[in-house]
Amino acid sequence: MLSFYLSLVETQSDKEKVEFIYLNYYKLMSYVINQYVSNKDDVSDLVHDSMVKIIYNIDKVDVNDEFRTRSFCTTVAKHKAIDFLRKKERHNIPLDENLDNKNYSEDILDIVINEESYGIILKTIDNLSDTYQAVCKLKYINGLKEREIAEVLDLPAKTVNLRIFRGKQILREALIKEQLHG
Amino acid sequence: MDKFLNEELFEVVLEKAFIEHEKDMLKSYPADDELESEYPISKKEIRRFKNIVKEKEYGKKLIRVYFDRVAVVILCIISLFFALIMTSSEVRAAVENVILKWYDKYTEFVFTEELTRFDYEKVEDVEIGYIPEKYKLETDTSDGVSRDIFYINIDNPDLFLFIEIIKDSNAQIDFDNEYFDYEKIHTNSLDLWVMYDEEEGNGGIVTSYNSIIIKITGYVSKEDLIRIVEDIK
Repeated sequence: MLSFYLSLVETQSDKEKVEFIYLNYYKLMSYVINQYVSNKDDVSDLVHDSMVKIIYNIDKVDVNDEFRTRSFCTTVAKHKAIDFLRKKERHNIPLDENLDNKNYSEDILDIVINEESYGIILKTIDNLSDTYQAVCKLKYINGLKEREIAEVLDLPAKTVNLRIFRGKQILREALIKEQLHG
Repeated sequence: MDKFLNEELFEVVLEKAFIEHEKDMLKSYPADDELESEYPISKKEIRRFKNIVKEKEYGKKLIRVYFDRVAVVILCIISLFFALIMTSSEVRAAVENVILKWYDKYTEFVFTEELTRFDYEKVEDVEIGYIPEKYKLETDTSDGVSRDIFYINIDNPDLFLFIEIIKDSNAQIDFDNEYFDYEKIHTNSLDLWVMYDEEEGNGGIVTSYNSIIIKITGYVSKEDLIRIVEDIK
């Protein structure tokens, strides 16, 4: 298995990255996946899938930035687990990607710039579906472009774009709702 | 506020919020020590992993270093061997032969296009009207550019008459004037350059018809040379 991981990369720096990720985040990825999948064999397979996906996108990883690398690995692992469950249960997680064109941006800044509203954003992110969280994390934390996120998550670029848009829309809606009723 | 700026600031706030949220989430995960018991990676596996990385890199370095050295040694051996066999005159001759063949093959230029660009008369169309008695045709060859007609005396084969017809207005005709007297004659609207040795009874004549150059040499009288030229059609 280890030889297989190393055979996927060419340069020595990439091999060192793979080594670092394997030794430091293999256990964490196992834990994250285990939160969704209980079967040990499935966990092991999904960690392997996550490792392969990370290795294929190793150029997007900067192992010197521990926080972002850790976030990247857990996001990929979590996405793999959710994707696995979706396929296994043949259950499509409702995404509600039929977007309406409401314009929420006009007064959003007035609402955002205060501590209370920032807390609402954090809370909304916490409640945000994993489907939206994954694309938003890769965009805002790892700074990936839509096309790169699509490569990491095996999604069409258009879907990534829609999920980011929808994720932001949910956050806007939550803020405005809180402002109106709070 | 400007809509674009508004959106940009919202993006900044979102980035900050997602990072903060992620930090909180990562903190909530168990520490590596705790995970170690549940998802262990054996020391043996770690050692093996590290060894694989090192071996691959070490192997590559080894190949790089030794490949350079081996290549240099092989080149030196080949050079010495070549120098050794070049001491043999046969080998030197063979090498020279190969180089000359190569030179002839790859440095020769045939200006066929240059020659066919103009409306030349054909050398094959030239007809010899007069030949002195006792001279018979031996060979008549043409390569399209020049035609060589060779006659010999039936009484004495050492006496010959050689007519060259060349289809090239820029052709350079050389004559050794050490043993010949040189004169220019104008006859039948032709300029003739005649070199003749009266004592030996041989000589040559050169003239041109438009782009055709004719050179005649042989053991015939000067009058015969001039008549041959005059009767050429």
